[in-house]
Amino acid sequence: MLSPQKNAEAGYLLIIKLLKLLKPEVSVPGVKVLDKFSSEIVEITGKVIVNASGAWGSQIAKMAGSDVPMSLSKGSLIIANHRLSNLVINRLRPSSNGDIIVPSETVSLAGTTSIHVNNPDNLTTDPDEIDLIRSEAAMMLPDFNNIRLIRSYTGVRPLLKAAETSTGDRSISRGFQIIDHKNGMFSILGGKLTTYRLMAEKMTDRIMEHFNINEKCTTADIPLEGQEDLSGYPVSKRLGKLENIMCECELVSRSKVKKVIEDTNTKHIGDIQHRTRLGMGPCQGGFCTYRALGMLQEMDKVTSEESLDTLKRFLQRRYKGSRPLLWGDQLREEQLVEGIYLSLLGMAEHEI
Amino acid sequence: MKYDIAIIGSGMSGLMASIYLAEQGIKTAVISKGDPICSLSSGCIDIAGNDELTLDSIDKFPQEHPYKKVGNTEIYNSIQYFRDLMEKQGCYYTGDIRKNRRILTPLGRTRVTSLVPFSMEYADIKKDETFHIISFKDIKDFFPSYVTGEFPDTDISIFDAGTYTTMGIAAKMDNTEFLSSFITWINLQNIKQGKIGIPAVLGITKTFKIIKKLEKETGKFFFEIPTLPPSIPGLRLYRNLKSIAEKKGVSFYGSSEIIDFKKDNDRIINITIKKPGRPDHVGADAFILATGSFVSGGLFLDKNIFKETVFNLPVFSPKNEELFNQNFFKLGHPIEKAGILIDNNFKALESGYDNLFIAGSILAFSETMKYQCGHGMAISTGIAAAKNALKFLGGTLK
Repeated sequence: MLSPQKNAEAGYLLIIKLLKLLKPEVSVPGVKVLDKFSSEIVEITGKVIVNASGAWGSQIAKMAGSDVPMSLSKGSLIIANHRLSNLVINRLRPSSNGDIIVPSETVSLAGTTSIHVNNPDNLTTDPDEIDLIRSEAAMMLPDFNNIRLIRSYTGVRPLLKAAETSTGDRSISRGFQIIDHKNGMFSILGGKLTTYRLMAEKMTDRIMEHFNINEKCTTADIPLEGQEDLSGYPVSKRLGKLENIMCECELVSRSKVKKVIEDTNTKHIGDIQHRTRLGMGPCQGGFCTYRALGMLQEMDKVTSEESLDTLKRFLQRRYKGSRPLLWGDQLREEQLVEGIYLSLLGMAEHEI
Repeated sequence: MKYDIAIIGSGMSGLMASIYLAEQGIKTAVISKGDPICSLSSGCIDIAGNDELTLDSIDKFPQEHPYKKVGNTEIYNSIQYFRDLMEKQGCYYTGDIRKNRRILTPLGRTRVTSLVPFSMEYADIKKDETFHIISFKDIKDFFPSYVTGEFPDTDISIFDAGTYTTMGIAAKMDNTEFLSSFITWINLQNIKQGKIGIPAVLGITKTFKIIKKLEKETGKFFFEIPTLPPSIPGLRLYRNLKSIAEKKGVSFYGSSEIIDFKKDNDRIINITIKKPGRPDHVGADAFILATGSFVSGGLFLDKNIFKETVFNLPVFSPKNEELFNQNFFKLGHPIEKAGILIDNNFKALESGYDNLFIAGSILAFSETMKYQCGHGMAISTGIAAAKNALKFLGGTLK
């Protein structure tokens, strides 16, 4: 997803935190950011800065001097360790909690919830949300009462506030808006995952207009690099060639992981996960993340120090997602993974 | 079939109890659903804590801990008993029961344990020590770069074993011809260091012979680094203990799920094993329950309800506190306290059964992660439960 298109000069920094905007009043704006991966502070300037930071959009727009009222709505989903249906199942009723079940490759997702929050940082899934989604999903597919749940996750909907909202966040439009801060900075606010490509297109067109270039965005017609052979990589195809499996849950082979690393030149485990589903099965990366990071080291993409750091952050994030679901078989899995990392690999923090 | 004592669970505590009882001339059976969690372990014997001394740190354990019911002398004696058995089996353990040591992990860090199998005798690596690493082409559960990150002066040699799983390579090592070609290759590598670390794949059944041959023909000292499960040293530990038990006459019922049991007043009479066709009944005068904690399936958390999976015994569970820490890396979730409470004779409290004894990590307050006492606790409570069951039989026979 993040690989730059061929023949385009682009770079990206991931896992960074915006510290401040540089001179938003002058025509060449910039940002000062903290690279959380290397702990370096970097200043980036450009002719145009686009704020496309989703739930953090209004905070950053405010730094640029525009007050955009946004409503943040937390939504949670749970993931079952089986694909329970081949089609999306949706309750025919006004949008409400727990009314959709979505099959995704080998698993099924059920959600969502809508809880108003003030701050998009450090959100967790509440046990109440899980119970609610589970019981609502079970009305459509009774399997949800007993199925092993492997992960929960929470996101924030960045909703643009209309003038008056009395009926709650569910009724707010999922539309989006582009704001020109008139100092070389733009904000694109609102929207949702299903409109993100349209948002990018409109934003690109707006930038072209800013530069007085008479060109339209063309990415709607160009497949994203790396998608051609990797999308449509179903498990049934993976079964055909069972050689040196790195991720047993999702049957991802060593050669596939190697290819993704070579094609994208990535050093981020997330890029491998998103492209191959490595680490997304029942053990939630308990085995394969250690392996994939080992491969990134062997291919000189990361140092051992960086991969240990990534491994630590990965394990904590993984635990955050499974902690609300620790009962039954998933609890057994968790105790096994704990035994591996804290005891066998010696990663525990000792108080004494 | 009818036995004097039937043990449920073939992990460390169940196997140790069975060996002890068989040596006393007791007709003993072990019933297990599958391979135990110890077969996935590093094969090392953790006894207690993270400090320099093991038995001394037990003094600081809470009064409810099962170790307190065993007592330090008996803990020492039962682990020594385990050690003697393993030595006679040809796979001796090295170290001092009273002390902890630090061995190298696959992440290049060290972990605390007490006794280690002979294949890890030289795994106590000092920070400034130099050693060499031999790994295998495309091996999936060992990445030497994690280790060399911590020990930058370490060189790596990669051998192509033609397979990439630890099990596959270990099985090949048991083959004499393969081992000879491996040794020939090592001698061509011009390795300068005297110590060689290697992922734990030095054979499944012939490890002792393999290491002796390696030492003799290369002039180097080798130490194994336990890998992610399937961890071969854990598998060796399980297979050796089971083989000792079999030699002493213990009967094994493997792949046997218990689906029912029969009682007579305060006695359990027999258990029913699920089988295609007619189910099997195993009767005994006394039973030892050693089915382990949640990970082993002895305990089960059904959303909010704690269950003991064989006899539906009352389960102690922590109240008024979160069951899980927020921090993944903090040792010991409060849920680890959950388990079966016992009296001083290792009988389950309030179970209503007079002939049922409990051992291993299913015991309440065992908290094996927090106190790092896994195998040590399993061995000593296994022996203690066996001794109490034996005493009980003596009482009933009179």
